[in-house]
Amino acid sequence: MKLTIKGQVEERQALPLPGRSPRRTHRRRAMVIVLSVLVLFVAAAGGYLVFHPRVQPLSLPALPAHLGIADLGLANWQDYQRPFPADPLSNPNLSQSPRANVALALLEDAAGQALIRQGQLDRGLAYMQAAAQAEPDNLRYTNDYRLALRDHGRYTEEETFFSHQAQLFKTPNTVISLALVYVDEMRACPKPPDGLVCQAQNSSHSISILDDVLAQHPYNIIAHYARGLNHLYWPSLMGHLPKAQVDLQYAVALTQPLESISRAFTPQAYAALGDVFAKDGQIDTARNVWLNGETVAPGASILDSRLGIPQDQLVNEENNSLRGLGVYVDTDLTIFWKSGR
Amino acid sequence: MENEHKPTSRRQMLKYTAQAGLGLVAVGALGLASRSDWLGKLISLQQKSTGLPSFRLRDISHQAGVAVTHQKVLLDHKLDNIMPWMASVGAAVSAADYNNDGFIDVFVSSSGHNTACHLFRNNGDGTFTDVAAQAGVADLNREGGVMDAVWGDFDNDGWPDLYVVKWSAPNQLFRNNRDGTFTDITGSSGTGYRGNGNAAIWFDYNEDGLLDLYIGNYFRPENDLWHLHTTHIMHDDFEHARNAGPNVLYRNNGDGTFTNVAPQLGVDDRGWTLDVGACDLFNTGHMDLYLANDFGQDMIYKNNGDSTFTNVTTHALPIDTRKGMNVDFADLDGDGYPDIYVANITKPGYLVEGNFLWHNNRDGTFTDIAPTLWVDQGGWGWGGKFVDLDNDGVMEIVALNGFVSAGSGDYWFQLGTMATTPGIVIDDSRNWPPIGNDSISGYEHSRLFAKQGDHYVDIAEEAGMTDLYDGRGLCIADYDNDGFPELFVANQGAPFLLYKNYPQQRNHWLGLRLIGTGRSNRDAIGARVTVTAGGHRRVKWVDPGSGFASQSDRRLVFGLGALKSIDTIEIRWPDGRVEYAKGLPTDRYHILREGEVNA
Repeated sequence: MKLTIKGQVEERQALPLPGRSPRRTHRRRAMVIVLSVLVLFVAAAGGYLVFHPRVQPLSLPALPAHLGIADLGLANWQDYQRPFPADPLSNPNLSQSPRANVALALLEDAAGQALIRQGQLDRGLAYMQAAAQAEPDNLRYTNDYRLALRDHGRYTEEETFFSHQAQLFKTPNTVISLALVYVDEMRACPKPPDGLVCQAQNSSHSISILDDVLAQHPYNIIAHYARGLNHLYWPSLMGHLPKAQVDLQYAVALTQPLESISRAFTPQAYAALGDVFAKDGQIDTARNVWLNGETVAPGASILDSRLGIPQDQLVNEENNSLRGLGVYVDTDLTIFWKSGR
Repeated sequence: MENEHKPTSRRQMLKYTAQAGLGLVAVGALGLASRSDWLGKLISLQQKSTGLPSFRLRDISHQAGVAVTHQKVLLDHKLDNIMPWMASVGAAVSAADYNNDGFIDVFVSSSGHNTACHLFRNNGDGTFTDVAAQAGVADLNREGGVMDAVWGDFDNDGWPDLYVVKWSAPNQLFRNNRDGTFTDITGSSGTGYRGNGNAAIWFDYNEDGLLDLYIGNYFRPENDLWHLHTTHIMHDDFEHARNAGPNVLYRNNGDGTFTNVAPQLGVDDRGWTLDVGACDLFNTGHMDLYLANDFGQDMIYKNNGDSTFTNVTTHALPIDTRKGMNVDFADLDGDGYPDIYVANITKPGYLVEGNFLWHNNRDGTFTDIAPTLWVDQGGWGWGGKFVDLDNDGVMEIVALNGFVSAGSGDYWFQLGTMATTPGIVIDDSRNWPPIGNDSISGYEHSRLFAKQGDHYVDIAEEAGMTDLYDGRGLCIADYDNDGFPELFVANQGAPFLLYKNYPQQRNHWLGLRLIGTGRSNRDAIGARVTVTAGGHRRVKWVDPGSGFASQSDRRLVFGLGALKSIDTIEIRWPDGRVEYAKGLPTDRYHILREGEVNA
């Protein structure tokens, strides 16, 4: 008999159901279950692939095998982590007038800050200046003094003092401090969108100073980060983003040796490097950087907040709120030696 | 009944698998959509639609007989590296009824050596005839280059005279001979300041009934731009430059002569003035000066009412490091105090300054509300004016832009690098990177900001203002006397355009031409008119020629929307006299003569 397909079906339907063997029924059930599990598995795998963030390893510069903390510019990190003496203003060792004395520097730094908190700005600054003069290469004292001047709008004094120190000592740390003075001075420019040229000129100053430092000390983490941030804040079309990328890739790479003394800087470095790509419109790459950051610094709020920004708003956010001229950069260096996150 | 258990057929199996697959595809697509945000983009595209404007603009320059092309200056070859920058101004347009036939005529500049300027006489039938040569105001580029022109009846004879501002040659004053011709009286009047100016206005600063002349200068007067002895001619700072040529205030002596009193009155500002405006900013009845300065702080000089001025800038305005290009005035909220629109420059990705819309706080200070109202992003701004194109009683803002439209290269990078690199002596033009055939903020779309709700939207393209020329002078004038203003646009090195206004609905309006008498200047420049209709106040001032390289029709047109009548008109004349008019019919122009108005 020659059967059409239709006929076949019809024939099959016409056939009385045989007394189905339980074996055959079980096999079919098993097949349905297996297929269902398969479909669920494929769905889950697909969902995972689509929705779960995939973290690709970052392309970072290779570092020498035996890079030490000193190479990063933080040889005196243990000094930087020393706790302040309690109640410095009552300390009998504190002299009536400030003196540039290495043995007193920590006390004078603490006393200066305490005096400023009490409203005695000039006296407080004098003590802090003495501490900075006692150890010109000590980033802790110079950082504290510079920030105090900055926070009180004493930009001229800031530039005068640190220019003098840089000229006198020419050490990487004194020169870096001067570079940061120019970043601080951007706050003295007219409020954006006015004063953009003023800000950019200060940034140029800072960059050129850091160029010299990095030519001699290619693994100085502070210089890389400061120069990278300088480049990052420029308007995109001025072509600074590739330079920011190089510096901040170094900054991220250098977080590894740095982690032995501090982990506070790590999320900052990843955030900044991601910002380079976000500002450039490379959203996926930016997110990948931040996700990488989350793997080494889980729960870091700066990374969480970046990842929470709607993707279609990222470029705008970067240009206006996060990394644009007119957004002031915090030049506080304590993130490089602060204990904990 | 037996519950039959049907086996799953292969076909059903395939069906379920396919459905599962489709589900997977859908899930994946949603995931991808969330990543690329195409859905959001689609929604935002739909939200961008602004609705249609209630007027259309169409260029009729050819039909109207005003299709001329501006010719640029070509300066000393020492400036070759930046010649496109240097030759980027000069296209000007100024309106007045010079022959008193009731129709607005326009003077249109050219700046190139020996190229002719144009005086377009309005034929009253929608066309113009260039009569510059026979009028004696064509051949103005033999020495120097024309940059601006402004009409004003300095001798109060009822016939508008013409003052022409030039680079590196004496400015020229032409007296109207009342017969369609003009006589150059520069020498006898003493108004031939040889500077490098870009702006001028006629206003009666000392309220003696005679129009005085304020000139905004740019390059220093000792620099003959055609024969330079030095290349140190440029601004010395991009944000605080004060090394420009001093501005000039010619006091009208009443005997056909003028005296420069700017130094003794302290208004010889050394900012790089690109535009000058004057209006009663403090509601004192006196005209104050606003200087739109390039590369730094705009200035406000308050008129003390005793023939002196006080520089009130630091109190009135915040610090301004922007590139002031244009100033115009309008009372946007009907409070009787003028608000101010100032063009600056904006280039996304390089420099986003934003234009100013200074809200008059009525306490001697101004606050920039341009970003809030969305009228700040105007590109590289030039001429900008307030205008009620559809006579609905709400002002639009037209803002021209575009600096140098040339090749595909972009000079902004070099410019930005130079401006931000410390140590470069920028006042020396030799230190500027060569521009070559690069563009600098070229091919920009003009803006036409129209009020929509609590902010403005740009409807230029929808309205038909689509040219990409480098716009400079913008003149608002109702050349066909239909009460709906037209836009005359002077483009740099490019065709002159006349955008005719085609309203989609016929809103009502009231037009006024004021004639001052007694201690008021005859042009009534500075007069304030308050029209009350439908419970709303509308306030306008007779303008002295504010706006970059331009002067608009001095007649005042009040848009009334659906209102067919007005309640009252209050006129405060320049000499302080206040008169009231009632019952003036709408949809036509009225001539109001001081002393004869009171209803």
